[in-house]
Amino acid sequence: MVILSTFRNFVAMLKLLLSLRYTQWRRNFSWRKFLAVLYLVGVMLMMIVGLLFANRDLLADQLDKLPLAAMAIVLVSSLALPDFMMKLMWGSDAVVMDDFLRTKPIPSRVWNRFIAVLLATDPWNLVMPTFMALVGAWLLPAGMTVLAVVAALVQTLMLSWLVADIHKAPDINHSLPLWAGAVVYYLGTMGLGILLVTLAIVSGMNLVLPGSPWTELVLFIVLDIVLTGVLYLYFCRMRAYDEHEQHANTVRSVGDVTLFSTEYLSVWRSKRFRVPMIMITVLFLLEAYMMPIDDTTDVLFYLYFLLAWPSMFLGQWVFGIEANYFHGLWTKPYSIEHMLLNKYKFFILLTLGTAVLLIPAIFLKGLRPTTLLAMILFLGCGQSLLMMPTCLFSTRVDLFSSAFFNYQGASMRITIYSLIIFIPLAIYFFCSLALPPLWGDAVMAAIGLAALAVHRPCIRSLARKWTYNRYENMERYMK
Amino acid sequence: MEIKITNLKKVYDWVTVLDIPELTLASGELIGLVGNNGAGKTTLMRLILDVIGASSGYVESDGRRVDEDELWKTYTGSFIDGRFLIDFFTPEEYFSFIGRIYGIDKDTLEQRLKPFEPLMHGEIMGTSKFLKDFSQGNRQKVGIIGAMMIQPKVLILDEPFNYLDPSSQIIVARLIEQMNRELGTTVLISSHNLSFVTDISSRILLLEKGVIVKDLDNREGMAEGILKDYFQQQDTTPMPPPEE
Repeated sequence: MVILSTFRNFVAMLKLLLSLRYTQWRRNFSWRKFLAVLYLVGVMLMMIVGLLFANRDLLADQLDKLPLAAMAIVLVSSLALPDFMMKLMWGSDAVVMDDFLRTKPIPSRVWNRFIAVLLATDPWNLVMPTFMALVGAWLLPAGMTVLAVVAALVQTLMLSWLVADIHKAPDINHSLPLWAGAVVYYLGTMGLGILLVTLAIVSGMNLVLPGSPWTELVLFIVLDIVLTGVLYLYFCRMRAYDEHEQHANTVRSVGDVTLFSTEYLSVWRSKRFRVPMIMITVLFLLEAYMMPIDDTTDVLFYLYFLLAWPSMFLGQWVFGIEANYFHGLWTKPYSIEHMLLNKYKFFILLTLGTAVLLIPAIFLKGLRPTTLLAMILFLGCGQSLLMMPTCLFSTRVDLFSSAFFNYQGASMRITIYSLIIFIPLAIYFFCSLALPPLWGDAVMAAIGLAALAVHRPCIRSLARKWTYNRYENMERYMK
Repeated sequence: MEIKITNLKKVYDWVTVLDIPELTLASGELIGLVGNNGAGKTTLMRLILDVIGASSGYVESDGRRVDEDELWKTYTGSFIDGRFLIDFFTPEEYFSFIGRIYGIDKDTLEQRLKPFEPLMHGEIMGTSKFLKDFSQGNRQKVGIIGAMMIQPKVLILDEPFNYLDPSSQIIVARLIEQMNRELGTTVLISSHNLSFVTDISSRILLLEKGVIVKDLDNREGMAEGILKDYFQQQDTTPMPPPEE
């Protein structure tokens, strides 16, 4: 009877926590944000599939030489690193009970089961298996694809637990074994996969285990299941507190602050903006340098996005940052026009800074200096001005939440307005592909200079329009 | 600087949360705004600061409507809540930023911050922390200092004594009174702390469900007793007997 009563209490507590989470999700759910997320994920998947499809001839040449079935483990374990990084950057702190729950009679074992249910039912766990299914359907035999999808699913669950353990770890003594284990796992599984492929190419037959590569993949799944269990037990054994002081950053104050410096400080000090700004810039820069500079579509694409990225990314939320403290700004003699002008100058400066990174390409890759200058003017002055109207409908962006797959601040109006970036993109490709080189550069430069010439009256008009609707705007910022 | 309110109304979802036909805050007055939760104190302050729009009526500061002319921003210091703070700044940067907006040079800024050192208590400057990482009490102090350091002609503070320890409350009350006396600043503060508000205010406005029910002259310190009687009369709920 005691055991049954204890079990009933356990189940009741677990149900209570799950219903609390469900209520929180239901009350925070927004169809607009959900559709915005679907749209963005869809665009990303389309871009990846498009890239693969565009390079299918190149890939086909390489793939013909490889034993595809043996690639399964390599494919699955190659998903581990991006999956792990994304989960880590999502920065969920729900693994530790907050003060409200901790001071209630909720046993920690109930909490641990609750986390287990959350991690197991997280819809984001389907992302990597879905990707594996798409790639596997293209590259692998059918049966191997199914097994690879199961392996990807088990791996993503295991990685969820790894990240949960890392977040819960109260100090380096608890987190170091996890990091070390992650490195060993990644290198070990990738190494095993590469060994299998190499042996299959060299010897053309199995030299590892009977039934290879099926056997190895099944063992991979079993390994991940065992690791999941170990990580779960580790999670249960750790004692941690939700200490806010742990999250306090020690910073070096810049001391004297100008109105303009607020622009770069807000981006630099907010992980939400800093990480994507740096990551995407580095990624596109590497791509731009790895490819030969000629007029192929791929290179033009990377060059464009490298320089367009700052205004494209930050321009979605003009005033999204300021919305966090807009009441304070509004009550001070700092005009909307002045704020928008500072923002415009900041976008130009960012584009210029990114362009400086491309200067070596002039000497190493034959990038035309006129093209670079034309793109600075076109994108820095032109596209930046095009993004300024988002100030009229941007929402508040939480500066200190994680950036990845965080669509807080997104809205349908912003999403729809963002389609406007296809206009400069179309102009750019037209100038690059349809016009003689110097003519194309001249057209882009002229558009950029024209934008620079009219930026003040445009911004003044925007500021007037914002001020006319200021109450509605500031109300929106309070959400 | 005089603040004049004319037929000011604010309606949310068909509910009138503020209705003031006429009110003048004379230049140099130190006015305490009191009332129960939801009385409309913060709404009134937001309307004066043009942060929300009035459903009807208007507010004038020094003869100019606050919703039509932005000149009031050059001489008004205010702090309502966390939306007035810039969380990714350190306190030094925050004060420097405000100084820049108001054209206060570095040396003058340092001089202006000196009187606030007792309030800061060594816990604010030189900590190398973002404002978001401070306790509520210290954030409140930063906000109050940010509003007062510009030596405003109009000062609006919403519940400035919240989150503050007793000694800090006394210091804040003294600083407000000093600013009012020495600079002639028109001050409007709201508070649930009746004794502080009645100690320093020359006039008390009592708001109830968006309406000013009492406008008390407190120059002789008579308002506290009247207010206590008023609030005590409101508490008519009998205490339930203790459970056995």
